[in-house]
Amino acid sequence: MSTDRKPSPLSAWTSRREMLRRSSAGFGALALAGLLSDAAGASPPGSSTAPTSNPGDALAPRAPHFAPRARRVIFLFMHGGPSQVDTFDWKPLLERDHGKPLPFARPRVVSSETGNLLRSPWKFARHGQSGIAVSELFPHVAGCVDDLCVVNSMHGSNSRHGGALLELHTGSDTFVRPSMGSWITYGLGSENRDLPGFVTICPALGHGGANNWSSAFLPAAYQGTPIGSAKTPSDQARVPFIQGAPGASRVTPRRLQRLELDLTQALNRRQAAAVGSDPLLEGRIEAFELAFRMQSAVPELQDVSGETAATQRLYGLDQDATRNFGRQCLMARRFAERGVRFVQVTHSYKWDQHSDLRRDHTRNAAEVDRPIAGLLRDLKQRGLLEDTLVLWGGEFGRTPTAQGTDGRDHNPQGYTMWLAGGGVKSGHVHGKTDDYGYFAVEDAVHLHDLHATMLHLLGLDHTRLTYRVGGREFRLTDVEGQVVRGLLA
Amino acid sequence: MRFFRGFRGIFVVFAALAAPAAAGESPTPSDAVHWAFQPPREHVPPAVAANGWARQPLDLFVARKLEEAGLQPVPEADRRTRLRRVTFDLTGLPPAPDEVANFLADDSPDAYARVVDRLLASPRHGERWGRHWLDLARYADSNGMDENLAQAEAYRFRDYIIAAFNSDMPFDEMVLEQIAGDLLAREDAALAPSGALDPRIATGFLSLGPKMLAEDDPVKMEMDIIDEQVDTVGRAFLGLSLGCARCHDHKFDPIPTREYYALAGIFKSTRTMDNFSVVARWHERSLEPPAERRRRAEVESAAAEKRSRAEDLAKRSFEELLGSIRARRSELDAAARDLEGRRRFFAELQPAAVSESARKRGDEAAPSPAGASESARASILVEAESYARGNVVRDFTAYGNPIGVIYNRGELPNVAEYDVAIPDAGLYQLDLRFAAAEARPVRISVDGKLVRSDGARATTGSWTPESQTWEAESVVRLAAGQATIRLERDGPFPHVDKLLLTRRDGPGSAELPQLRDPAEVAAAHGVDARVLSTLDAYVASHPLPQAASPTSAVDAILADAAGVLSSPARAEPLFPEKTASELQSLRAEADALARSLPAAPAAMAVEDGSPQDLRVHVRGSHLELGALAPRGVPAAFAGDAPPRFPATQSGRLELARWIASAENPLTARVAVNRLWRWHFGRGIVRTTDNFGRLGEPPTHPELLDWLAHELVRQRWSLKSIHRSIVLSATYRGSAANDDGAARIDPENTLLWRWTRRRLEAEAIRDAILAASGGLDLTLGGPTLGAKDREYVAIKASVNAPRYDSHRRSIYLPIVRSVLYEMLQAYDFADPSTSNGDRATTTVAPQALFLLNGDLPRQESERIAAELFARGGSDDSRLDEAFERLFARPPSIEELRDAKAFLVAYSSALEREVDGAAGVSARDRELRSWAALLCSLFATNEFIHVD
Repeated sequence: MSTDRKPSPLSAWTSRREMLRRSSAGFGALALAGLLSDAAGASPPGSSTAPTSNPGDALAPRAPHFAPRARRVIFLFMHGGPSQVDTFDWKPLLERDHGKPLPFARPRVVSSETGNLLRSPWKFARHGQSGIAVSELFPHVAGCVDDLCVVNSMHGSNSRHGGALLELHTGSDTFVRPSMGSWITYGLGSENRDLPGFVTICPALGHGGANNWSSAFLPAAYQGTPIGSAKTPSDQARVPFIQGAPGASRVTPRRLQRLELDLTQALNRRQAAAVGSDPLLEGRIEAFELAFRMQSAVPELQDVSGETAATQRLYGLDQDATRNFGRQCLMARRFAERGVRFVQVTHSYKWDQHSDLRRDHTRNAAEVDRPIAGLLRDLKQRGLLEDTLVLWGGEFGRTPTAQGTDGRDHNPQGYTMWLAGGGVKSGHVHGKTDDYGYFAVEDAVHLHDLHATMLHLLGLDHTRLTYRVGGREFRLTDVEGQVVRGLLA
Repeated sequence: MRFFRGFRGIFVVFAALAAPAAAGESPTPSDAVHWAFQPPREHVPPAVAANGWARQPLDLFVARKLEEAGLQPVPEADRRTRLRRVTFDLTGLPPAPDEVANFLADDSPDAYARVVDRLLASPRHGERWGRHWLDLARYADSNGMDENLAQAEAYRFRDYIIAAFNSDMPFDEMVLEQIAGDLLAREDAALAPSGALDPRIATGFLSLGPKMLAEDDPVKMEMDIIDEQVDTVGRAFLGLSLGCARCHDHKFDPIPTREYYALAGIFKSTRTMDNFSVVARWHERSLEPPAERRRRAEVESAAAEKRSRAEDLAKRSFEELLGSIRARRSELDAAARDLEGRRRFFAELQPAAVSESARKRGDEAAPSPAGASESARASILVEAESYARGNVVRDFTAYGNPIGVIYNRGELPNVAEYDVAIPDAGLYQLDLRFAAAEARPVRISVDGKLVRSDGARATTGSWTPESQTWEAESVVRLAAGQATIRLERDGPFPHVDKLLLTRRDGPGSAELPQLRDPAEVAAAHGVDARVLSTLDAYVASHPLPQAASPTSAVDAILADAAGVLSSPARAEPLFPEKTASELQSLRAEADALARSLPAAPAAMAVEDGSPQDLRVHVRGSHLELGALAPRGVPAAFAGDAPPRFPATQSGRLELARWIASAENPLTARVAVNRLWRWHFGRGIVRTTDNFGRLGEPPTHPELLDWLAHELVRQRWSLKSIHRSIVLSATYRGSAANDDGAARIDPENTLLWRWTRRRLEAEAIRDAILAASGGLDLTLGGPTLGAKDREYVAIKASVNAPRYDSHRRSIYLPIVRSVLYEMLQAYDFADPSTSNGDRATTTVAPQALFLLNGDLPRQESERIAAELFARGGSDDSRLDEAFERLFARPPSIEELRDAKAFLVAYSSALEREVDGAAGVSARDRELRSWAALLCSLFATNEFIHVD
């Protein structure tokens, strides 16, 4: 069915997806949306250089700066720092020179001392038509390799988890800044009016915690909505204050709650009639209706029991090791399908192998490999991969040199992230690290460049997506960032 | 419209004092020097036509602007509205019903002024206005950023600020103390009795910022911390974005990079941190008086002496133990071999043969002894959740869905104890069924005797029922009657579903080996039973190599560097009883001594480090240094006599005096503008934290300057400015709309009416508690509930800060990056940066909190119960409910709505929820009333101030 689609992005939409987006109850104004951004706050998007905006409806869909290749992002975050030389960056010389000293200088600042070169315990093989090398840790993802755009030359500036997480998510490891999901939602608004525009499923509470999904100085409407946390099994994750969430333990049957809300709204309307029109009060009347609708829309999306057994198997819901992360990935597809702009899925703080690399990287990969491949295949078969940008990676990579006998230290100097779908080249490898995989040496992509490129794919010019605070224009990429043309399809 | 009475005389005095600058002559942005960088001018309050409306000099400035625009101010708000407005504004709480009644009954001309005096004198005032200041101080109880450590001493700063606002500490002194309180050389002299106003605590202002404590580059870490201090001081006190000059000359304001580093040098010369390692430590200052400090040292050394005696004793006993083991090596080895058969039996023990299909289903019914079949009677099934004594959770919904399991609740050690009726004496095999994603072996005792130290040791694949597995644990001899089975673990439990006892004697029981107790074997060989058990357990987990012959278990355990006999601490369970009790009492004495000391009071505070000047960091990089930048203040605002910076001190005192001076063009203006912002919802300068060229110009420049001078004239008393503002006619106006005025000035920039405001997060929560009577008004003190510098809020179950207290919201823990969702939803200022303004957004989580939150639900029930306890009619109850929540009685239409709701809700409850369950009519009525109150909490009126 995708053969009749024009190559030009976004021109043709399957009616099925349009229908899905519209089918959610209500479709009035916004759900988790900021309906109003009061004049007393920072300057509203309209006064700044966001593409276009409708004041009074912070999450209304907005036209991008130029034709986008992707309409939404799913970020699969591997918290802890997976090792590039054990996964997607094959280094035969590391194998040959195992045990020898690193033949060049280490970075000026390192997180810990490391010893000599350590070969990968895993075998690499070339896969697919593209022949991209993937280690045996990711057999299922290897089967999707022709859809991937592997960036082997990522680099960042911070060698500690906290700083690196903040830099990856917000572009700054120094100050509290809005998260990339917030910037994107600010730039584009939301496509579904019963759902938040930016959702993060089971996010990490440490290493910056909420700052990694916060809107900082952007209006609260662009805040990421956390569903559970890294400490919550994904089948028990809840939106704050939705019934049954911590701090909202009572369950009021829907019909009774409707009666309560009707009384509230009756009194609100009596007051409005007495004091005259006030958008502040009207927005709030609407917000309650939206919250009421969201109360059924979100749990319905989180409930994956209606998915076919085949789909559940595809994501690994039938196996202990993959069930938790698989459910996160499946929820991510369901949210993306309904028009949520930015969905993050976190595999929390498991990838930090200073020791026990063999055991724990094996376990970690086993937990995520099938769900990730399942997500890619599922997106593809539903025609969603074309305009959904999938991003995979950690906050940094790891050193090719050994910590102890079976571990690697943090390494922000050169590592791998991969993208798929949404306007990036497929079956493509971009950039190189040195012979051992320590430093990005060819076509290096800094995190700022990654951010600039992601915005570009979404139709946003990173130099024009700005917000004015305290007299200064701020942007996701600060004063840096280049769109990496080599990644674009 | 009220007329201006008895005020003109005072006004004349003001006018006479004022400098001759003509009214209306305001500086413009095109001046060579930006308006905010020139000293505030003395303006005479202008003459206006409608001066009968004015009540305070400030009204004349407002009236002049209205006249120029052809606008009339709206009439005054009614008395109820004004009382509710000023009470929320000055104290953050609603007026109590009796306060409303008293005010309405008081028709003396100064009734309102006396209310204002009462509110300004209330301790609630400091809690309200202190919180505004805490936004600027980016106050938090945890570090946030990368390493979210508890700042358990930060609360002292919070309490200092509350006390400073309550005592109306002159604002210039507050500035001095927050920047240089430690250098004022009056450490003990000026203290309030509570110690809350210790000026050293005030310097917490400089320490409280978020820090990257795990930055690998220590120089960068230090410069980032200094930058945060420079920027916060600039924004909070001066309304300047000084941080912009770190990498390049400020693009808009006259702050060259050199002058940024001149300021940064002051903080480089200040000690904020103890070190810059990973994870770095911020500095804390002891607040303990010297005499107590000495006593503490004495007690600590006495405790240390007891600990070292305990250590010596343990070392001696350890040597003796090793000696005795070596002496009886061959007897021990022989005894260990004797126990091998028993051990192998247990290793090979299989779960009892209960019906295979039943075991798979995991739903065996407990067999009943009478009339049951022979095989059923032979086994006794016990549901884990049926324990008689214990501290673990019985769960039927999450991990035990739908069958019931027990698991950890956080109280350690975990214990579950069962009383099991045994129909016939004999040998029984004990099996456990459980799920465990990681091994969590438990100790199993039967009738007080340990029968297995590693029961339920397997990992089954998950914590959830689908992986539950049976495991054989032991074979025990039981007498008829009651047996007590105890499961115990020092850490958390596996998720246990069932216990099963199965008869092992009768046919086939001859195969059972002699289950000789290790104690009996030990006695037979003349060795210590505990040593033998230890050895037996060791051999079980460390099979000896077959090749080594003859093998000695004793040699192996003695050689094991990680074994029980490798150190005194590990071997302690094998010490003689007398030694054990002696060790225990020495340690207990040491602990008691340590406990006898109260926690040493300490504050997050700075002190002077080594005075030094910084070099300019080219493009902000500490790797590329430029010219030396001697400590100083920006020349553009330095005034005629710029402060000179001493070689022997950091210079914070000089900086503080320069900022706190009446000559500084910014300080007083920025301060009065903040008060205006919090009273009217918007500052005279809308960009409260930026008075530079990129900030917005003032809407009423003369008024701003007049207020700045007034603050200085009133000896920097903030309360006197509050009084001027809330007594003004401008403040007393109604929120009513006027279409004509709205066309001319839709944003109400000129203040022709009162701008309706939503309450802040704290006031919403406090108002719910105040209305319900559930508010706890305790002042101050620590509330975080975590130890200093420990990680907070990373794990959901451990160290989770508690938000279910009934204290005022200012005392809720402020945990950076894991902010309480209610505060977050209602636009609480990001506690990682200095904020003089808060947004007001309308987002769905706010509604979810009021629809579902435990707080509104519980407090609604509290009010409902109280209304009912007092009797009376529905009408009188509704009257009281509306008075409590809205400070007014209900209208006839509202009474009708409310009563219709009660009827509809009660019958819906009967239909939908309770059905035939037989809930009493009275219970339904109570629940309907609680629901009604919840609906009232959710109204626009409850959370807005008119």
